[in-house]
Amino acid sequence: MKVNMNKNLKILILEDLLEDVDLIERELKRAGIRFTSTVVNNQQQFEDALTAVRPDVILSDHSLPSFNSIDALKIYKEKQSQFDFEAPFILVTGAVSEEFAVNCIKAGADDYILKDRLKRLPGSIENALERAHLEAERRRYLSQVISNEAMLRKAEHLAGLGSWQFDCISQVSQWSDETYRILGYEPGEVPASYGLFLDHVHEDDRQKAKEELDSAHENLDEYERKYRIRTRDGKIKFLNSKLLITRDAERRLIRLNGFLLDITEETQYVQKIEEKNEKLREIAWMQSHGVRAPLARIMGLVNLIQNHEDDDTDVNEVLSMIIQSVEELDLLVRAVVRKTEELPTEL
Amino acid sequence: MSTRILIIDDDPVALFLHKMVVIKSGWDQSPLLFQGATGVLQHLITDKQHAPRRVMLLDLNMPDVSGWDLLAELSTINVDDVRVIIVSSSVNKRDVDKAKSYPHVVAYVEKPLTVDKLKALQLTTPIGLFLE
Repeated sequence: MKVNMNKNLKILILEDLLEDVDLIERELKRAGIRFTSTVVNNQQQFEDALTAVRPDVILSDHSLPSFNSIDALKIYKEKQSQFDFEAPFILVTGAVSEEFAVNCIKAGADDYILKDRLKRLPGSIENALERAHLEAERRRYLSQVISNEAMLRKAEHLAGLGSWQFDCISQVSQWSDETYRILGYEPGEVPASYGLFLDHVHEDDRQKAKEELDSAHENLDEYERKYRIRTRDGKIKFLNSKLLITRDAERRLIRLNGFLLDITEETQYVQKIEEKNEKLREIAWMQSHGVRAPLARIMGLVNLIQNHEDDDTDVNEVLSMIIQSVEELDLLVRAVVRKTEELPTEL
Repeated sequence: MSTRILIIDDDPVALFLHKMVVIKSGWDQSPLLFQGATGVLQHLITDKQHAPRRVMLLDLNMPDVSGWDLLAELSTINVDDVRVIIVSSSVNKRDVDKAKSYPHVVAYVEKPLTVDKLKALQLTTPIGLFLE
């Protein structure tokens, strides 16, 4: 966006010679610049005017009876950081040495104009305003990026999501803060590296993870898998890992971007449910097979007695078998009850 | 009757019970009892000449060699004079379907085994012809 020069500019002029003020104002008017000027000629007035007027542009003579432009520049810089405003500071002076001019620019002045070349002044103001405008834009953008980045870090932390990047050309790895934390480090505690990351993959999963990753590098653009890691202090965590692979037009590797989601809690939860299901299956088996076996035996034995004629069936022997089976059945039913009581009531 | 009945079960009470049922139904006056499936296959191969036709009353859930193991082994040897009736306490439909998929299996009976059940099998399955 171009600076709007039709706006009424508030110009603060630090100058002790009224004729020179006249010349400056005439030049600005001739260039069609609309402005309101405030003229000061000592330190106190200058300081007061900075805060009272909040000028858009400062034009400063170099040497005044009790004051000079270097001091004025210093005061301005202090106020600027204090009050957050941006006004180009332009020196308007008589003849000076080149060395002095360079020093002024180094000290933070935006430009310097010789009094016998005042025609340059309007253009100089316009350029300086343009620069100040761009600088403000840049700063705003930067602070936006910084705050976005801070938000992202916070989000990563809350979600237990780490990210990492491997530049295949420079071979440089980067880990996000949360990646460090997932692996059991303080952010930035050790240099990030692909090798160190693989070292943390659980020894039983490492070879497979490495092979699959290598093959993904060859063939895929995106890749997702679950594996276990061992943190620095030996804790086992479950991760869902997603990999994005960037290639050039010849399909050569450029960059790997990885995202690690800590799914330890969910995984353990599912494991507990599976353990519970296993116990339920055992109970179901005990009911269908275990309990049914002595029950069927009793039914068969009873049937034998019911249908016994004067054959060689020893009724007493059959009865003692029935009693034995009934006792066995009782034990089994108690075992089922006990197993059911062992089930966790909540997860 | 020249058909021999083999009763195979790991539970001695079931062996006793099934023996009584087999005798009462007139299938065999002296059935052979096996507590567990070990040795059954060897018997089938070596004892052929005494009884040309054999019917096994086979339990499924047994320690060591299960009824399933024996069924699998049976498919590997050439015995076309053997029929199998599964006698199991399992009422699981999966077990029933799986057992019936073996070529020697002619019937699946849920325990308890009774005289009435054997008599019904005689009427409704090819086992009746096999026994004559």
